[in-house]
Amino acid sequence: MESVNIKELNDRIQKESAFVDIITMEMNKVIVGQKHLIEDLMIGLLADGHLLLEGMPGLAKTLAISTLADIIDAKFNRIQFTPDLLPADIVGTMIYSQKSEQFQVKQGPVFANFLLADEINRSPAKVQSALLEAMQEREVTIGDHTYKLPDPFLVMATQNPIEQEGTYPLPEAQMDRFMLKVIVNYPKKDEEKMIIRMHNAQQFPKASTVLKPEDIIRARSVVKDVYMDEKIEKYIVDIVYATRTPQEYGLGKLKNLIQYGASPRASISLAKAAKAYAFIKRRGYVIPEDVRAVCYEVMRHRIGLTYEAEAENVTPENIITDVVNVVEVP
Amino acid sequence: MIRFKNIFLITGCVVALAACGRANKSEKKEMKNPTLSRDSILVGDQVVMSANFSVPDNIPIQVIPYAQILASKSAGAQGEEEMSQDSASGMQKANLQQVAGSVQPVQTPQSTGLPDSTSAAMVAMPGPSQVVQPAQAGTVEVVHDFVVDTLSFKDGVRKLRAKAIITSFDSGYYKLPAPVILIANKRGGADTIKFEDRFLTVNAMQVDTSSFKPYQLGVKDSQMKYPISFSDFIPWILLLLLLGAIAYCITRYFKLKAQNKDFFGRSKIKVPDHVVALKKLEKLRDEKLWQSGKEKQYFTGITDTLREYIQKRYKFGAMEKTSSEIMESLKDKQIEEKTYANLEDMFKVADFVKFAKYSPLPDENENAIPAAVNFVNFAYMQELKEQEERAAAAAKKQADKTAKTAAGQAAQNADNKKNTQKTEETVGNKKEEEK
Repeated sequence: MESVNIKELNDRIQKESAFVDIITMEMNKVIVGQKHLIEDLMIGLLADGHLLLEGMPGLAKTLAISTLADIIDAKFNRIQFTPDLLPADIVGTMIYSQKSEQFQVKQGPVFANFLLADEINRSPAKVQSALLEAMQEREVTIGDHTYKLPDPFLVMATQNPIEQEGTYPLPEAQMDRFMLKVIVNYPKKDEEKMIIRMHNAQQFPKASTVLKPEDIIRARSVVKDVYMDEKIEKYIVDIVYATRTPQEYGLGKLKNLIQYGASPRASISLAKAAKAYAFIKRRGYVIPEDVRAVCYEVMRHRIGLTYEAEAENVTPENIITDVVNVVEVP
Repeated sequence: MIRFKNIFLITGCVVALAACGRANKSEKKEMKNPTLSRDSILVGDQVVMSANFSVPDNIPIQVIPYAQILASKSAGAQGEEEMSQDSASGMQKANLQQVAGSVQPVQTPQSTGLPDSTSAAMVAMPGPSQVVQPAQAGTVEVVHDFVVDTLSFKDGVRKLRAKAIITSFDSGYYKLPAPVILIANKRGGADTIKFEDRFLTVNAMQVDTSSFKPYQLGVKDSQMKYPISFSDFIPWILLLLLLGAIAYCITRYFKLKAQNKDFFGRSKIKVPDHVVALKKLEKLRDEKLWQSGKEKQYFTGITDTLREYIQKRYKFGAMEKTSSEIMESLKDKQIEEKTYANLEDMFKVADFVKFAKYSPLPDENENAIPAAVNFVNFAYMQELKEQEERAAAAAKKQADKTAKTAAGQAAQNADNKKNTQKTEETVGNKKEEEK
């Protein structure tokens, strides 16, 4: 059996994950509370997964993402999704230049390291789907040419709950491309008091740029080295499978509530996110706690509910709780 | 020698013939015509036709089905006489010959004294106004064809009775053809026992128009009620019995389950949880897994055993919890500090081994089982203590209740005594006043 020196692995992780504290510190300068949100942003950053933030307006979703972009010295673009937005407004288009008498490519805002797709569900599906290729393949096709996107490339989208007026639900294919869906909740009383004080101050705090894209790329390679045992892989597969065939796990009552279970992308994302979480916790290996810590964010937007579930006010979170409570921990 | 043999045979035959003769003589007296249970019936009623006859033992007989006799009548090819000795079909005779074999000694009807058509007693004849109709298939129907019963067996002669049930749905006066019974004879053929024909009057249902009341809708008890027979109740009785059996099985199951017995009343032997856990841990130690480099298997076995035990002992889903969640859940279980710390360390090392390819030190391997055993022992002792405390609390509660009842009773007695004294005093005062 190949032996892993825990001390050595942990030392390496300690060294490489030093920037986690820096990011947290800088984020805390601007964002009050929302520790869970900051942690999830870092998981997405380290696991190379796109993020979807959902919450009521005014919960610092956009501020959190723009602050993260400020901390890292990388190209940051923001697209405000509106009902009249067109796909070309995102990916770019061919423009005829009278000077050169040729068509020239005008790259869209998608060509950036960090892309903030603000209120993504305010645009119809055809505009949202313009991001599909960019998110999955990390490239964009304009006319005859395909252009690589810069590395790192991270889409951080915000959306208001779909019950709100004037919103379009994201297509399942696009939802699946987001590694994490983070639900942003209201701040606590003390936190809200702090927010008021910060806004009443002469100058609103600003995060410093302390990291380079290369730091993120290096950290990502370390995250990939985090050891994941076969037992953890089995645990992840069991959790994902339990959303597809709940009756095999003694969850027959969920069968009529789930329209479709989590996709294989969920298994991949769960493994990646668990590794990133272990990295943040300064561990060189994944334990079941890591999987459980990220499974809600990874799976909540990948489980389709039936009308029956909606009628009974069953949420994907309820389904995940039931699944996690039933699947045996290794 | 040969002469002796012949004499013996002849004597035997004479004795046998004499016996048959006696039997036939007696039969001649007892022989009856076919009888009908009723000569006159209503349409659809059933009548039993029976025919008594005697045959020597070991002589095969064949009763011609009555339905066949009626069918032959309806074919019209032959009359009543057709089913006589001469007209009995060759096929029937051949069948009988097969049955009889070649060695059976048989007697003719004449020799046995069985009745023929001429010697049969006279039967009821139709009145002058009645038109006799030949009974045929369709007019007279066989409900149950002839079945032969043995009435007695005496002196080598069987007394038999053939019974059939017939009915008719057409009113009229019918001449019923006689039953036909074939017996094997010694020539290899068959003789017929012949009976007299009988007459049956079938009356139509008499409609009593004088007392007829039309059915009145909405008037209670005006509808005709059919008589209730026992067969109507059979399905309900069966259903009741079935429900009773199910109820009994369910009651028995739960009653015996409460007594920790199986359905058949056998006691279930349940090994205590801590014994199961300790045995598994002992087995893991004996397998010497970590000594052979199987640390992962070793620690997985220990943690699985402990999680199973914790789940049963503390009644929470330890199998679905992570190590830290288990330790968190055990925090409020009043576990001794040292035992808790050892258990936590053991779980941490186990997690390292299971999920981080960690090779534990020999000390860590050796200490894992003792830490687990200590925890199981502690948890068991704690369980015993809890049981004792519960029993003591229950006993105290019971004692308090008893004392309270006794005190109440004493107070009641005292009150009664006081009241009696008061009454006596009042009576005494009254008496004194009267004096």
